Amino acid sequence: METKSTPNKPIDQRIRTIGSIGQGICTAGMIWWFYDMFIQSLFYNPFQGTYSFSKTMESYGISGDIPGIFNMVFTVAVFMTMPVMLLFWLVRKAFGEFAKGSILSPVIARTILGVALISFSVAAFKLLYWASESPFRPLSPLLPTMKSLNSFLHIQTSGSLLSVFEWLLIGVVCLSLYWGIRQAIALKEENDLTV
Amino acid sequence: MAIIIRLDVALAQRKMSLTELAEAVDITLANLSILKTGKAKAIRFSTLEAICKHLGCQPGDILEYYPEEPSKSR
Repeated sequence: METKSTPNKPIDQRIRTIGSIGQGICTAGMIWWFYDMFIQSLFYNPFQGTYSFSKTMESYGISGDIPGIFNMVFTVAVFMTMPVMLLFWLVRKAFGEFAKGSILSPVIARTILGVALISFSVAAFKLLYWASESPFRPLSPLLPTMKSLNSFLHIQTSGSLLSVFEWLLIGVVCLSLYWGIRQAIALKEENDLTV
Repeated sequence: MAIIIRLDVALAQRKMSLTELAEAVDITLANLSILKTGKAKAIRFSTLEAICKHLGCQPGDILEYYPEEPSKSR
């Protein structure tokens, strides 16, 4: 610990500003994602009259067991929406810590670890999804159903192997950041207790 | 930790308070308190020099090595 340390005010202020801006972007992202992935999946375009699920199905020319299809679509929509919503929430939490002026905090480390774990989960899911249309299919009987739903629900789930690597890369980068921040926290603690 | 800080003993022998020492060696009272209570993980040579200079003592008068017993759980 410095004997007479003075905080670096301009940097501190910049971090707080970036934190506040990041929080706003994440909130907007959460709202947009919920509308784009969840609401539009169930009610294709609520602002153009298709505000009910049966009308959405009509617009696609689908008839039959509407409650049954709704349950299936609802499950898939929740499954597709939740991971990214959770990602936005975690990143928003990290920006919240920035807004408080705290960078090397255990909360941020845990948040980044959470982002890494979700990214790995999404990568695993996408790998299964890709495998369902590859020569190795079908790994799961549910996946072809999800794929057919995807075709008319416009759920943006890319089945390409590239997107698997994208999510894996995000996961690996976040995991590296997590270890880096953990090490930095330990060093900071040691520095704070150096007289 | 195996290193024990004897700053309180050195201060008591000289009838000096921690606040007085903090002012004399230009170290914050909070930092000196961390040192005195044994929470410090490291001490800078410059800090040690300032304390020794003001108290007129050797580093060995402030720091003492006390071997720890090996843990029974191992």
